[in-house]
Amino acid sequence: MICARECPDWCIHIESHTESLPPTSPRGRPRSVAVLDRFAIDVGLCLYCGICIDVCPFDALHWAPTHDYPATDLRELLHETDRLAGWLPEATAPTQPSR
Amino acid sequence: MPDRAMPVHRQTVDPGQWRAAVAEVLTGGPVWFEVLTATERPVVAEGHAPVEVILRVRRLAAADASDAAGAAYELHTTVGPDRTLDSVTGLLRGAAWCEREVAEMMGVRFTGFDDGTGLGLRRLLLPETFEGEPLRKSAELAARGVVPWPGLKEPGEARPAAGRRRTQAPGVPAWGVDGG
Repeated sequence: MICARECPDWCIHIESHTESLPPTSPRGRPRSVAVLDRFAIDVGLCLYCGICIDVCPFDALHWAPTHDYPATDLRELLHETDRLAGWLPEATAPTQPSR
Repeated sequence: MPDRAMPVHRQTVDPGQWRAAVAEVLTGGPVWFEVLTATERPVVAEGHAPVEVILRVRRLAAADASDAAGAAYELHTTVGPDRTLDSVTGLLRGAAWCEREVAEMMGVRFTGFDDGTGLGLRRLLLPETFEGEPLRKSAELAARGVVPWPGLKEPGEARPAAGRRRTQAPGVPAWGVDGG
């Protein structure tokens, strides 16, 4: 949960739980995986600093492709995954920092 | 972009030499005062996080062949635990607002402050009744006392596991849900 840890103003809500997967082979052991329950960004708090995008090791976060108001109503400033996923088809490829 | 092309002369000075160092830069010719600001450095001793004050001016006309018009001069100094520093308002009148801001936000006391009003070093942005130095890392944010820090959880955890070494976010009050 690096994004939530690095966020300077705590605007990322991320919740998950662990699920046990049955073994894939007869002698295998059950595997536990982390399952995402909720990912939401409170854009009413967000600074648009981009730190979460930079630190994500999986490039799961992107800048929105266009500059626009995140919402026109105060009650719509908490963007859950359904809302955030709407941007994905237009998202630009993440830029890698030079190493 | 002149910023990229023009040289930046950086110099770190002793806080006791602060005013003299600024005066030295100003003797080279007319300058544009860009900024006086401060930042908190990592803690070096128990309870003492030094505050670094930074002043930046830009040369408007070359003083000599070794100099260049447009070059930036940046002075850095780290104030001691007493957090006092000589004011440069006598040299750069425009630094008054910046010094007032640094004073109220970071708790640096500028001695000899004079902005021509005779009112001395006073608040710039915060109300008179405000207590504390809000841009210090030690400043407590009351709202963080009632909300658990989202960064404390690991993947797969519904709530932070007990016993793990706890990292802590800045600004959480000691009385808060994650405090102590």
